[in-house]
Amino acid sequence: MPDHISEQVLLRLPVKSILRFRSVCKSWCAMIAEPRFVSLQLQMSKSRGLSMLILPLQNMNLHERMQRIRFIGYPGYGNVARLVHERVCSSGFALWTHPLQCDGLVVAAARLSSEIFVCNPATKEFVELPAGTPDVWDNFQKVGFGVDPSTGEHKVVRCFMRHYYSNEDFTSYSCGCEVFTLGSRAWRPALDPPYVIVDMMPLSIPGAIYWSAGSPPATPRMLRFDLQDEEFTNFPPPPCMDLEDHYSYLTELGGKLCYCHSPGDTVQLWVADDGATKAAPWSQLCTIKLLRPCREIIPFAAYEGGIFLYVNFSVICRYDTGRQVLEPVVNMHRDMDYFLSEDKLYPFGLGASNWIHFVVQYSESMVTIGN
Amino acid sequence: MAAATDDAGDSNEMIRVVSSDGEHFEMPEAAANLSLVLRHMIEDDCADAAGIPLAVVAAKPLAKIVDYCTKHAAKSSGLTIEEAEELKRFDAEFIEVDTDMLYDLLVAADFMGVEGLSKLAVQRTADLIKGKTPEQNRETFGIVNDFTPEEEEEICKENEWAFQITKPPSRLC
Repeated sequence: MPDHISEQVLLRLPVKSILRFRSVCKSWCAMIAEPRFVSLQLQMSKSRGLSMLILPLQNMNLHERMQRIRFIGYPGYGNVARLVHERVCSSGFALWTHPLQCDGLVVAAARLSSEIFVCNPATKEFVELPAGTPDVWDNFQKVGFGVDPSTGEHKVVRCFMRHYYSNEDFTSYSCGCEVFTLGSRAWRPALDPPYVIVDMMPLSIPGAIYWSAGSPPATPRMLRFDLQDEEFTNFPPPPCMDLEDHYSYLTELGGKLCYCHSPGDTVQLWVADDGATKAAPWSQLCTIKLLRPCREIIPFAAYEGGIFLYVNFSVICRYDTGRQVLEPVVNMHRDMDYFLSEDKLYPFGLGASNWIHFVVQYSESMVTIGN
Repeated sequence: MAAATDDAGDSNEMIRVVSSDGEHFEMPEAAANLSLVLRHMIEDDCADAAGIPLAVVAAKPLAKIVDYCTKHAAKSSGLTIEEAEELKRFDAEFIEVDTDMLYDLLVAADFMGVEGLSKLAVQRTADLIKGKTPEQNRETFGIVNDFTPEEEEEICKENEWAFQITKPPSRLC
């Protein structure tokens, strides 16, 4: 069979089959190792439609450690989810903050220490990054993750506080930033951010990471970190951004920046284009009416006329933008069937109160982490 | 002169093609146009009564390809939802063939530049082989294992888990 036809066939296989078929013959093995193949596979995987990854996190004391991390694949409909990868570690994993996903790689940062891991669940590659600069601000780690389109390099970006004095107007501080390029060996310092980075999860879009910044009661700021130049520039914040509201989220939605603001029984989604130069780049996309007030609502995917959100770390919902209604897709605690091993159904959802579930949009890839 | 203008824009004209083993087939010009190779031949005025020779496509796959193109050309633009569904069903039945025929279609559709059929055959092939072992794959495609046993073992070791093939689980009660 001509090579270009074999390539087309291989590109349509799950990553697990592709890795197995490296042993068919030398020419297949060489083809699969090509960076060209890896990037075509990623494109193909992204074009295949919606797919999600659920990462359950045990609800435990902040200083306890989890024995295992599970990466569970969910197609976005129905109530069946299957284990993609499970990582067991005898020394355990510190509780992490919201995981970040880019090109099939998942990054999770510990809340209180400087531990960060990167995993490609499809290839099972797992790397713990070396410790970064200590953050004297004993708070959530402030970590972003994205790809520099000019080189294809994936970068973990971390902001931290070198020192600060809590005087009234919070003017005496030193805030730093460092970058870890996947495949390299160490963190590199980047230029300091011009404002204090807030622990609101940053959003990542190809080429840039957006952070909320500033310290209340000062005016909220937004900073764009360019993944190629590794520099911060100001970006107008959404008009309703409130740094003290811990139930607001920044996410990427359908290639745009999205700010999700939940004032109570509604959710407002504001969107802007990456790198927009207008003075007021934000526009309100929609206001979603909730059946009952809930605070933790995180939009994470836009697909075929629907916006997918997850609520209270337990229910995946879909907002139909045409009909303007919010409908539950599945309750991850109560209704999901988790296949965690071979062909056994695992009553994972039964321990509901012990778990919270993070959800990220996910396309499986063969992108390597390196190191 | 009137005949000449008719000729140029007449999509009802039948195009003849000849397989590598000498069999003749006919299809409407619109169907032949779905093949890049045939379209270029038609544009270059190479389609004559003797038929366009396809030196590497045998009669059996060519008959299927003529079928495919004729069906798809008849329903090319402005499909209703029902028609699109019907075409999907046609494709699904069309590609239910044995591996020899599938292989012939893969190569022939690629050679003739029939994009839709190429995609269909490639996807069907991927669906067929994704749960197979490397050895079963070699058999299906007549690929020779050119690794030494040591090399093969090494590659297998790198991703040992990928060799545990599990059937998709069925729901247990």
